[in-house]
Amino acid sequence: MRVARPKTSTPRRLGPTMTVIVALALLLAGLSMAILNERQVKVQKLREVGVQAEILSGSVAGALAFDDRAAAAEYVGALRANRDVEAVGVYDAQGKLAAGYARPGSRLPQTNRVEPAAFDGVHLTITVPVVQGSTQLGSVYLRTLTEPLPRRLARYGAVGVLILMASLVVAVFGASNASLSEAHRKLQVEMAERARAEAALRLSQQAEAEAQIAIATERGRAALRQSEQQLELALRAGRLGTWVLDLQTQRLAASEFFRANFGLGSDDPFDGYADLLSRVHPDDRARQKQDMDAAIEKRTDLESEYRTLVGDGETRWILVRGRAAYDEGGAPTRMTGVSLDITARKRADERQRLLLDELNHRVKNTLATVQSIAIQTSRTADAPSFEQAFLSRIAALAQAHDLLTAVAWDGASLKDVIGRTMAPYVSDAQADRVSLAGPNVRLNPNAAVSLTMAFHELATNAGKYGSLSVVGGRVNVDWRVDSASNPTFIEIDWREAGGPQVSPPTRRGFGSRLVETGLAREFDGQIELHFAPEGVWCHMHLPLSRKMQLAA
Amino acid sequence: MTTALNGLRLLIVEDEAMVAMMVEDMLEDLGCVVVDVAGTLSRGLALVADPGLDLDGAILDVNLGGDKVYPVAEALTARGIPFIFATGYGIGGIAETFSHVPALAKPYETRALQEMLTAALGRDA
Repeated sequence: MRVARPKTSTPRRLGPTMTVIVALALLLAGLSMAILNERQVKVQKLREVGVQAEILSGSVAGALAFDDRAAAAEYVGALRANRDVEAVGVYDAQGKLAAGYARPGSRLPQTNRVEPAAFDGVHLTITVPVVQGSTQLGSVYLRTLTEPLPRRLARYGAVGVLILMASLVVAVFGASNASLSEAHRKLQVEMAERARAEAALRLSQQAEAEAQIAIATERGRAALRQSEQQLELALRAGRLGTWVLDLQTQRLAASEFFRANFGLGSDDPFDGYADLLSRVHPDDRARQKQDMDAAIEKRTDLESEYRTLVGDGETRWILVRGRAAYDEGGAPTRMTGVSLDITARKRADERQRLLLDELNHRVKNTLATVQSIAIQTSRTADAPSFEQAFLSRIAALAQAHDLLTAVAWDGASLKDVIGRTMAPYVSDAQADRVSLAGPNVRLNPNAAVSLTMAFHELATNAGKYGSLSVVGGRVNVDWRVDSASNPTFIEIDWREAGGPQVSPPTRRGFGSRLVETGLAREFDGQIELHFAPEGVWCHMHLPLSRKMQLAA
Repeated sequence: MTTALNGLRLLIVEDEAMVAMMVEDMLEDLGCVVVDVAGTLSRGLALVADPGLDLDGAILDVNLGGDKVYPVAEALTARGIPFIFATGYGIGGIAETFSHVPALAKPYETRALQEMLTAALGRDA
């Protein structure tokens, strides 16, 4: 910044040189005046004295004509009053003195001739003729004192003193003026220096401030660059898209990731709000717009989740967050935000929701099953055996659940289901008492539970009354499908051997009903339960379906 | 036990054997006649399609081993036979088309079954 230097006024400096010049000029002027005066005094005196001489000449003309010396002496005597007149004489035509006088120290010439006036030191001598008509009657001699030298000297001295004083005044004034002017000059210089110093100080302060600003700016820039880089890294790491929507022009600036959220590359046209909306799932468009309008109006953060159409009929879920900016008048100018692909989360959410629904469904169904078991057991068992029978059936149900949980409720194998229900009745040492044989058949959870309960009833009966109630008794379970390539049904046979002689039960219990009726209805198949004397035989003919199918 | 449901001929469509047995018992306790129990969608459809089968109503489990029971519900509606749903998915799990149909949430008590059946298809005593 430039600092205006204070304007120094141009002072009328009357320096010593000027003072000397002025003093000299005064002296010169005084000298000139003296000389001029001297001349004027001489001319004046000449005229005065000339006039006196002429008067005297005129006065004495008669006396000379008549040679009246007394009268001439009278006229001459009249001049005695004039103290300057030193000698005066009237001469006749022959040049002889007719009358006159002389002050002491002066003398009259004996003869007189008319001569031009002459200054002689301080004296002036004038001779004039005395004329009547054309006849010169005589002459007059007049000698006067001009101003005496001492007086003149005194006068000139006084003038000189005055001039000297004037010169002194001038000199003193000049000197004081000079010193004043010097002081003024010094003050000016000091002020100028001060102004310069202040300007310099201001400049240096300004420079320092600018330097500090520059340093701060540079640091700020560096920090900004770093922060931008970090932001970029963070955005990339977080796979966050960024976008800016001009709310007045509806123009959209979208980052690479934001474009990717819509299945677009950097070259695809995507620079207007309309482009964006056209790629939002039709069912979500109204909500997207509503969310944005609400955020702008209420000045809150935009948080919107919607599906985008990324082509090939595929949709993605994205989460968009943003905030609007407003001008001074409060009008929304633009909206800035980020986006994140949340498809995986949404699918997980969906899966979680389905799982919860399914879990709820299973729990409810299981409770209904437990309810059924409780009712059936209480109706068919005597009070003392109810608890044992009920708990045993609940345990079987729990076992089915364990098996299903082990395979994430994705279905169990028929062999596992039967094997587990037999486990409580045979130890490892007696494993050969039970044989299971058949192709790999997959059961869905419901089928697994029902078959577990059915085989649990068969095994319980065998353990209580049948082949598994005695040492050496056996159970053979085998199953087969009607066609390996295109199976439609499965046949399962449960055969007991080596047990005590079987007699048909006196009444139909829960087990018989479940196996013969319940299971048959559930699978829409036929099941026969024979209480043959040599051992119980159960034959199942069940159509294959989604519930039960041959494993690949 | 004599109720407003006495003698009603009912069909059960339920894919879980033990639950079906319990519902059968409950209905018999209420004096109803259980005409048949279908464990699969195809069996249910076959029964409802049989004009010879005299039916006063039905209790339908919504989910039949992965199949929805709605085709049976439509067939019953077509025949003008009233029915109720029984579901472990809760009331929200029922299709909108049948949202007006009464639904029992599993597990349920005999009394709840009785009240709903009475409201849905009970004859004046």
